[in-house]
Amino acid sequence: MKYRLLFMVFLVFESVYSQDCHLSLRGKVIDQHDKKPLEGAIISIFGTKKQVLSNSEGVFVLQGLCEGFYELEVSHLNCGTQFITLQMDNNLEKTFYLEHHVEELNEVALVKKRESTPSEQSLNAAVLDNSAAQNFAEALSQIQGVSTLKTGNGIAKPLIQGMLGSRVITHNQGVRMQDMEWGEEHAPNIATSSIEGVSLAVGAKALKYGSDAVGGVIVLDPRKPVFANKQRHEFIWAGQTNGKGVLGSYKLDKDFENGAFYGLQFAFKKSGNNLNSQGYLMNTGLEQTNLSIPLGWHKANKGIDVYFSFFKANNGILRNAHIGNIQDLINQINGNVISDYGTFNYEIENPRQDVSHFLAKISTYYHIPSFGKWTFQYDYQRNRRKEFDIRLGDRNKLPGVDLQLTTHGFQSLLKLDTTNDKLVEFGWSTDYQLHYPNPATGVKRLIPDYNSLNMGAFVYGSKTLSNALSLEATIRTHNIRINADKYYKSSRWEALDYTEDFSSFVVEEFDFQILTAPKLNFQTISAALSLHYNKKEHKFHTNVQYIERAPNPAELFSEGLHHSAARIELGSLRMQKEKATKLGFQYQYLTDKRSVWLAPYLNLISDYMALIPTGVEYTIRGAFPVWEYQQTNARFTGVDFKWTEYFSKGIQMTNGWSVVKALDLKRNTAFPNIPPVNTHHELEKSFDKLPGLSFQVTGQYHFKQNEVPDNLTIYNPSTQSNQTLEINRAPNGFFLLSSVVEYQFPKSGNSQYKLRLSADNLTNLAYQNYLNRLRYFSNELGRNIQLQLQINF
Amino acid sequence: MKKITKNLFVLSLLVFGLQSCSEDNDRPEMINEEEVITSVRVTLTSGNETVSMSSVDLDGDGPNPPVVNVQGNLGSNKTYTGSIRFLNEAESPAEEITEEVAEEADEHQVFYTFSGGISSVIATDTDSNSNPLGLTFNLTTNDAGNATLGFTLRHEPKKPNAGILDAGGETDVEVLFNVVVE
Repeated sequence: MKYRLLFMVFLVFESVYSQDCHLSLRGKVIDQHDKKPLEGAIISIFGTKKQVLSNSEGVFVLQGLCEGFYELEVSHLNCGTQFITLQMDNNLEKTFYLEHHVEELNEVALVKKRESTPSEQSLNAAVLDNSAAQNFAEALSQIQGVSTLKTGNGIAKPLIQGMLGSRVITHNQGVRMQDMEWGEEHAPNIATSSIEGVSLAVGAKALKYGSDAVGGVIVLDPRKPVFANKQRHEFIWAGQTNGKGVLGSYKLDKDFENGAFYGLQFAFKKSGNNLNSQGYLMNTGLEQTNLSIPLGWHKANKGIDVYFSFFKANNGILRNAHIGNIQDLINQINGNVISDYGTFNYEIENPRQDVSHFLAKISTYYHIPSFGKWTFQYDYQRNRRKEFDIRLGDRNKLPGVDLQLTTHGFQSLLKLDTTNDKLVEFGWSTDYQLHYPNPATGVKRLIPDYNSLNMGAFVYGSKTLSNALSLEATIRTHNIRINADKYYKSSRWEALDYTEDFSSFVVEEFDFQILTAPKLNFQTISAALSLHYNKKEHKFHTNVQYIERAPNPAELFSEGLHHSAARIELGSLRMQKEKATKLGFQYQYLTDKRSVWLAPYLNLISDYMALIPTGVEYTIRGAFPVWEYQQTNARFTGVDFKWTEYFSKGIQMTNGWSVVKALDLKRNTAFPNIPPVNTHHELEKSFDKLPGLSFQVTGQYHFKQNEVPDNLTIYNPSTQSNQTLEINRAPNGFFLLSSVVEYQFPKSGNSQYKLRLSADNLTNLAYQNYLNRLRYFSNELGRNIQLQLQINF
Repeated sequence: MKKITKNLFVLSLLVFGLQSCSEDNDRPEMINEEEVITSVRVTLTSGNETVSMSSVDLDGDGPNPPVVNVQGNLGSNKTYTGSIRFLNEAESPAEEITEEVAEEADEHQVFYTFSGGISSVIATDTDSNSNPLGLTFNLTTNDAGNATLGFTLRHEPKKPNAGILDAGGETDVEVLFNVVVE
């Protein structure tokens, strides 16, 4: 038992600051359930590397503590985690009660401890507080290997090891987010300030969260009970110079000794036109509001969790990025158009996106003695996406895209009572989804009406083979039925050769359109095996996985002009599931002085669904390139590396690298939107004499992406000549400098203040980012200085 | 335990209930895109001589290219008065989008491109700021030969501007006719 706990991974690595440090804390950990001492509880001090285990009497001693305020994290393999704040003035003795058998539904707490998600793969609450004003994808990109694909500045999607969209699933509070993740310009509907902690799950554990995750699984921690009468408030205010943006965030956590808790979190963000080194970018303001309410009651053998959240965002899209046809785009890319700059204002006009997401979940668990823990969850999600375009007359007030996706999810999990060296779980899920594109837009539906039923089941097992070696495996299967009702253009239906192959789908034919009712069925099976080996400071994780992903609605049904990209996009009813085989290896070296993380991977995907340019079509608006979803074979290889060295005198240095290479094996070309090689170097300094003060300077270099797909050649009838559309031309590499000064005031009474001044793009560099879909239209943002005040009381 | 089993049973019923509902879908409403321009019709007159041309793309962003038709040849060294109309002929009766363009004259402009036997095309109408709109125009021809005549309708161009490359905005229509000057 003890050994087992020894190779758990601890999350927090921050410098220790000390003044008079001879105090000690002697504690005893007791099981609240049967009042017996708990052996092997982990007691760690938040914000330091200090940690101890309780002995067979449940006793532990922490020495070398300084006067001041501490936050302790007390956790045990079979228990929940408690956070306890202590004021150390003298030596202390204290008893801690842990509730045995209290486990979180989706066990994120355990993922981090027992299941050893390395810290390089997660962000804790302190990091997320500092990032409160950033959007979710940007905050997430602090994890090595995560980049963002942006549409302008406000809309960003996480790219994990070169993959995004339906290949990355986000598990929020035990609920798989259904927020139309298939679109490149669809950002996750999550507010950074609503998150308590986030990690990337890999291997056998990741497969427990859901299918389709060829790229990765993002897990957002749910709220955990503290088992003490406690009330905590957190207030964050941030203001930034670029865009004159403000963020206000408030969080209340209320806990009771009996395991009941509730909370309230609210955040509001607003900014106006952003500034780059040339001028104000027109219509780049944004507004974001979110509200979330967690509540629950956890007892030793049963418990209930309820969660509500509402998210709403209104994002302006760069006015000059609006184009009518490919000629406009060619003129833009070839530099024939001088970008317009405006003045500062907060107005958000068309084109813009107005999205909202509502999530409600209820989950309960019950521990059946000497059998296992059974949990059941129902969740409801409603996602609404309105995209406003520049249209004629009064139609400007009507969205051009108005989609509503409603999801009902049911899931159940049974975790058997087993011995300490093994674990068995069974899971079952059913999701029913309804998609309704509002016809009032007067614009042909981008994604048709459909409903889908997705039923899945998994088995997970883990086994400890020796002190050093453990093994985990998951196998998962899904059956997905999609019933759609879609109007095709008659000419398109014929051009795609659907007339014979899919005649059974035809409901009725009209003058120019044809109503069809495609019924599709996919069966997927996925499996993953993870092997963990630990030797002293060295940890090795090997993950082998085979994942099948069924096509998403865009890959199946897209048909027509995608205005913002000036291209015709076509899905295919012939799409088959894609199959990914991934081999990942993670090495971690961890001591007080050094932390090294090296993670190479190889992901081979057959029938990889990719949007590929296939030709040009002519319309009365001009010529448009046609991009079709086609299946090819892909190879993604890469490595993520991070090295932190803790020197004396509070100096800390970090160097990170991410490299990913993606190749279309059938056509022997690169894929678009693959992150170029990037590296960052961080230098941090804290002071023994002035605890709470720290400086940080970060330099990051993004190389030029040399592996890009070929550019397109388009015939221009006006000039009767071929023109090159340099859509894949990669901008030059760039070096960005940023810095942070942070001061955490000494705790006064119950309240703690933190002031943080940060500056991004210090040199006000004019640069373009390959991972910005609007890079043809403007340079990236110029210097931004942000002041943030955080109050906890 | 018994209670849980019962709950599970109720929930399964709910799931299957939802599934069976989905079988008899209501048919979604058909969308006829109103603001789509399917047709451009140009008329040129000089005295009692009329040349008309059209570009018609009834399937919009479907795979079929526009059907281009030119009726009649232009005479050399002549001046024609011309007009251009934008229509949605996928609707019945056809919707005249020219009117909407005229109503929002400040936010629109028709640009001309020409080569060969055509020497000039100049707008004869203006918006409320006295900037050219371009729904009507004068066209002058040179000596006999082949010529091309192109029309581009831009939404929200910069106004006034120094021509199409300077104007920006979004292209709503871009058509090209091959004509003969005899």
